[in-house]
Amino acid sequence: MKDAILRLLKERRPEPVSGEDICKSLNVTRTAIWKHMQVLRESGYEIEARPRAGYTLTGIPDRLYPEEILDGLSTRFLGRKIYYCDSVSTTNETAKELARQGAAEGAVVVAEEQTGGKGRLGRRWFAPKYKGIWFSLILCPPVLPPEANQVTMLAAVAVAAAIRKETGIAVGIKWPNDLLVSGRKICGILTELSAEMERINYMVVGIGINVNQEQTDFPEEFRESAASLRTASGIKINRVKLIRAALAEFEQWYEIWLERGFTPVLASWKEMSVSLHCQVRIHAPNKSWEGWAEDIDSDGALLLRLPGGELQRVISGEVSLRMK
Amino acid sequence: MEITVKAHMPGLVARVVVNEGDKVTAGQEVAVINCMKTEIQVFAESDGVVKSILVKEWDEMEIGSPMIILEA
Repeated sequence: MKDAILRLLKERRPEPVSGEDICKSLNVTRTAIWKHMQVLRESGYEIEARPRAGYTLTGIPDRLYPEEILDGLSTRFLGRKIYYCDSVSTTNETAKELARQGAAEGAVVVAEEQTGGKGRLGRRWFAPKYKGIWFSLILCPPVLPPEANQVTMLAAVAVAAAIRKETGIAVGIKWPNDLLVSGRKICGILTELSAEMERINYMVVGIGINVNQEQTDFPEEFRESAASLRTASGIKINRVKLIRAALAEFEQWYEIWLERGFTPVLASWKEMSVSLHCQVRIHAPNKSWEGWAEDIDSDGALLLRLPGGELQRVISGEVSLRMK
Repeated sequence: MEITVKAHMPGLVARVVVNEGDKVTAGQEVAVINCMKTEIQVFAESDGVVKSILVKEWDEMEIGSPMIILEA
């Protein structure tokens, strides 16, 4: 009922909707309407009530409410079911729990804040309230487990494409799937997989985008290395529109991948890459290399040309870029 | 009977989440492998006690690499 009233207010804005109209079209009492208006106001919607004229929606809160994301979402299955959390430890933890309980493919967990955000290898990922988009997708691709890590690069392609379309900011991809603006990280992706030898039980793709943080919102230790779309562009970004675009791009790329394999995904990844055809330094947990980032192979591994001429295949590690 | 838990994805050992002597049940997570920012849980295939841990963090795994031995 609350959603139906909200839809009605949105359709009519900036004109008011009379109480009588709402009563008639939704078959509710005036007292019930009043209660729903209070609930909407508590959620941050600004609603003006005038005697005789009725109710006017004058402001929509900057929140990632499912009803706001769904309003205009173009996907077929992705994000059709959204679990909204004001605050969570990590959206991946919540999504894994839901997946274990049988949540359907395409379900999405969205949070306004992550208190236990983690990057790869358990590193901290700073995720303050209402400033970013922290979300996890639950997927169950019908592929063998070793192919599933292609989705992590697919995610980078999809989010980069969505940011470029929605904001015009020239984000680039750093191998394998960090998104950078002017060398600073604005998005991190962590995929977690539950699988047996031959079969994937579920896959959770966690994506964190720094959207509206100011530079001073970042803790001291991240100020040099992190940025947000706002610090990069000087413009406050509409988070709801951006997550909608990200879901649409992701679904589109996911379907391309299922139909035509990794090749088109990798081609697009290479186009948007900033860590290819340049000198890079790779820090793996127990060794490091320096060399020319020559190519990415069909599994997504980085092919590094070492100073001695030898080609080294790298599957994991921290990449530092030296742009020339 | 000894049961060997093997890697089902190539990658690096991100962490082992059990200790020698721990009792585990079938389906319990015992380790995590990381391959290009995808973390893959490795499960015990049957109930048992962790007899020995054959890998440490950052060891490189191929499909089928032995990781943990359980006494079932």
